[in-house]
Amino acid sequence: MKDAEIIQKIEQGDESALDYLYQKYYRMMTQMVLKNNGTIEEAEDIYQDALVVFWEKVSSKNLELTSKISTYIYSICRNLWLKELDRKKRFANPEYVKEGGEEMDFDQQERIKAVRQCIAALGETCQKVLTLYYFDGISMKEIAERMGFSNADTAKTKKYKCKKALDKKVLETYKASDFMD
Amino acid sequence: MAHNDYIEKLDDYFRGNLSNEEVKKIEELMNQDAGFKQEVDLQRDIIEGLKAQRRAELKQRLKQVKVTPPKSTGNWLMPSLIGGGLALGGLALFFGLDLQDTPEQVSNESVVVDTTPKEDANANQEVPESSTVIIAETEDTNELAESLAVVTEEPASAAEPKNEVVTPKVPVMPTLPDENGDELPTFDDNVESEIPTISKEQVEQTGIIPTIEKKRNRFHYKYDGEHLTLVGDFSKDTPTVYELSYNKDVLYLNYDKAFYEIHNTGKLTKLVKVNDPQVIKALQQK
Repeated sequence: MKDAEIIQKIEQGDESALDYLYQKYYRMMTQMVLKNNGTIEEAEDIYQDALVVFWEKVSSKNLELTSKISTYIYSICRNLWLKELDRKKRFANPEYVKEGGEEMDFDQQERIKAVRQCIAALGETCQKVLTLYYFDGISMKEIAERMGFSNADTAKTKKYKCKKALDKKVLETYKASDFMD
Repeated sequence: MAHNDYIEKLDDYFRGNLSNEEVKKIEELMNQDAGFKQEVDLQRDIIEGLKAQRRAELKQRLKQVKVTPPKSTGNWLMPSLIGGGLALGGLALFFGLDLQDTPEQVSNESVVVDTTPKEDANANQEVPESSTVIIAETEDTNELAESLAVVTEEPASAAEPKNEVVTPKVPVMPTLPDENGDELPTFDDNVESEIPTISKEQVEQTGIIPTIEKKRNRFHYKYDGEHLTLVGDFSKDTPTVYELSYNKDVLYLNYDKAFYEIHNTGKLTKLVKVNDPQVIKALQQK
């Protein structure tokens, strides 16, 4: 599969393109982490994260690729791994924890976890519409096409209702969990 | 513009679709109105949560993707079953295998390893994976093999194997050139030969698979991603195949205290020793 074809598939929401990329560059990307003090689990984790970043960029059409896909993904892997090494280094430093950085992250993580629980409680269609809009960043017209809605207005209405339902659930959860203090 | 109007604009704010002026206004409002700031923070969390949800979905999908070689898993069963001393359980399973469904390419002096997942037709239930070892050896290419043994490892739920004689039909590899020959032949899938039959009782009574003396040492292999065929005299030791989790493009054959690389070449290839000390060390730890 050529790069242009992969990009086209991702833009159309075809997740099989992601599988293809994962297999194709698995060795190249994981070797980079392995050769830089990483474990195989870390290498796979970084590579998977990098592909998700790539998907997000391509899907939302926020990417003007001036290199080969492999080069671009490699650079994401490299950056993610450097970031991870830096995180490890900082985490190993007790001063960092005392400064409260980790505590803040933990609080944010807890809130995101709560939001995800609310998302999971939504219907499948709502989950799909909202993630297509907010993560994949695609237009209402494209959402309508992918989800089989009659037109963009129908998709917009659906998205509005789903979002309101999610807002309500999250607000209730936050109040119950004292996240609003 | 009222606060509510700006709340409606938060989607565009987070998507970066607002003008500089509008962004500035929203940030001013956040500084002036704690309630508005709380709403912005809430929306930010929700959008981050939605993104995290989708990322997790995609990542989960990737975790399920099999990387090459797709059907191998860690240390393979096998070769320890080859030269002698086969476990009776394994032997019993041998006779339940339907070779017609899994045609193998067997050389005149070869070991074929099949890691293709198979379904238990009798039990009509899912069988996750099985490994097959076939040994077929002949003194001459045109002669029939004098021995054959097939061992499959299948889940306990698989149907009881039948106590019967099997007569598998397998393709025969054409004659190999000399060791130093540059050109190696390809397998001819159309050529078939009947392998002599061997009964379950015969193998159970002796506890070993009958083998023959090899005339020549042909140290080659053929691997197509699913089937591995070893060509040569492997009677000195029990050949074992490994893979390293960080490099699944290559398999490693352990034979007679040495390791050899096995690549998915799809054609007959000479076995080459592994010289990298790190790889050898990793393999020795298996």
